[in-house]
Amino acid sequence: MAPKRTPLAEIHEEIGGNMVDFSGFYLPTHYTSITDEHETVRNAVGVFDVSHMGNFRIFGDTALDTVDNILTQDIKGMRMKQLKYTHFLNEEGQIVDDMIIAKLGDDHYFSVPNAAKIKLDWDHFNKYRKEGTVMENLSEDYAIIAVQGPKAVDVMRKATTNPCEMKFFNCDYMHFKDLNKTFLVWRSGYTGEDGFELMIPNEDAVAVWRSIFKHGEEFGIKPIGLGARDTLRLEKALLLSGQDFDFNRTSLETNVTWVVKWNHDFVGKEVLEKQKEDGIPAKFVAFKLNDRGIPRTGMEIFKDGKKVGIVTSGTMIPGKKIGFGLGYVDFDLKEYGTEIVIKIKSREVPAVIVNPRA
Amino acid sequence: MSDITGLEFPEDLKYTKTHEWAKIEGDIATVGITQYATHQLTDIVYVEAPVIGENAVQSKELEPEGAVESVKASTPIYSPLSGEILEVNEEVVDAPEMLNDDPYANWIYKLKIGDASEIDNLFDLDPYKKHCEAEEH
Repeated sequence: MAPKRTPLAEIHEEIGGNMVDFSGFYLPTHYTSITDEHETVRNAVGVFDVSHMGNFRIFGDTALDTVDNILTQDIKGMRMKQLKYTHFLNEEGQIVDDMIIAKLGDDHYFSVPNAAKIKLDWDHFNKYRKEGTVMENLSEDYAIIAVQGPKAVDVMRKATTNPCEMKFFNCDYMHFKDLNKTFLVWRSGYTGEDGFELMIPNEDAVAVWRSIFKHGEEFGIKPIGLGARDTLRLEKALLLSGQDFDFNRTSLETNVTWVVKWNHDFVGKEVLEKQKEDGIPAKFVAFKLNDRGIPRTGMEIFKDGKKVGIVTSGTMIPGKKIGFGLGYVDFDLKEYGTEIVIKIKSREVPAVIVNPRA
Repeated sequence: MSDITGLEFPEDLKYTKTHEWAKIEGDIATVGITQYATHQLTDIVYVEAPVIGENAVQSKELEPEGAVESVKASTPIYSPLSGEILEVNEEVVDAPEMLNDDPYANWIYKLKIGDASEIDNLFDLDPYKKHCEAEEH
């Protein structure tokens, strides 16, 4: 089956993206090189087409009860126009997916599930939907353009009439000068940098992309592909759904246990309570190699000759000649500075657990 | 979804369907990967050195080590010919990006050809080009 074209596919072709079929979507791995694109986002500003991600609108009298019961986060405590990163679990306590949810009104929420899990998430949400909650799957109707990097705010200030005073993990309606139209914009991203994610109806996506590039030129703006998207998130130890967890982990085993708020009931909570009491078996960590090599998904982690974990993501961080990975180790080995060994084919490569935010 | 125009294909080399090249001089073969391969991989960031003294087998992955890695993935090197690995290009191991710049000047390893009749199994230039074109469609 031919991969789905996003509303921005014609732009990727025009500017020479290396196009592939990525989870059923026709998207670029890179335009110039992953290294160049990675550094552009770290130092200036880059733009991603993330239209493959889904869009759910959830509203109605019981919408708050519905989402508060599905999601691990405390949705009742959210302020208007606030965003929250959250997990949601099945009844075995395993993570089904992660997402960001926006509060647009007391009974109105907007969330962005992962591309490969749209159908699964939709079914999951429907299973727990309360009477009086309306859900719309708008995944086919919206493009998402992510503008990321330390200069992203400068680009947004030029492209819109807004002062961009909203804080990270908030959202607002912003007025785009060139189009004379207003769209929902989130201040969020998946790169570890400041940034914005623009929710644009399909028919306006190309015009918004062009406008962003026009205003971004003086800041060195560049298009960024999926390759750098992965290295950017990996370097900051941001979880990748389906890879760093895939119905085999609970939120307590990840590095974002704060997504679990105990002050409300949610699907899977009892399992987490029991796990907390019995002891959490493993912990998600970032590590760097102290010798040459690149850790890859599925490689085993050892300590004192004993297997203590598994690599779930790995790469060589562009621009740094250091093999870097993410994975799960026995819970008591989670501290920064713990020395471990990664088995790379016949070699045992020394590595150390690090703080990816440091 | 790219095409092979603009890629270099030297005349004096033999090629494999897995995109290695071999330059044959007497009983020594010098081995590298083709520009088609580097183009597909993009951003080569690591060369896992083959092990000197090991015996390579034609069309098989080098054992226990020997791969070219991009940011995204590790790609094994399939030896064009059987024979003992004599030498590894340490310059390329230290600076893998050299393979992006010039994959023909920058070889990866040399082997002592164990069975010269295996050379007949390798592609000459034209059939290799056709093979690359076919992979594009």
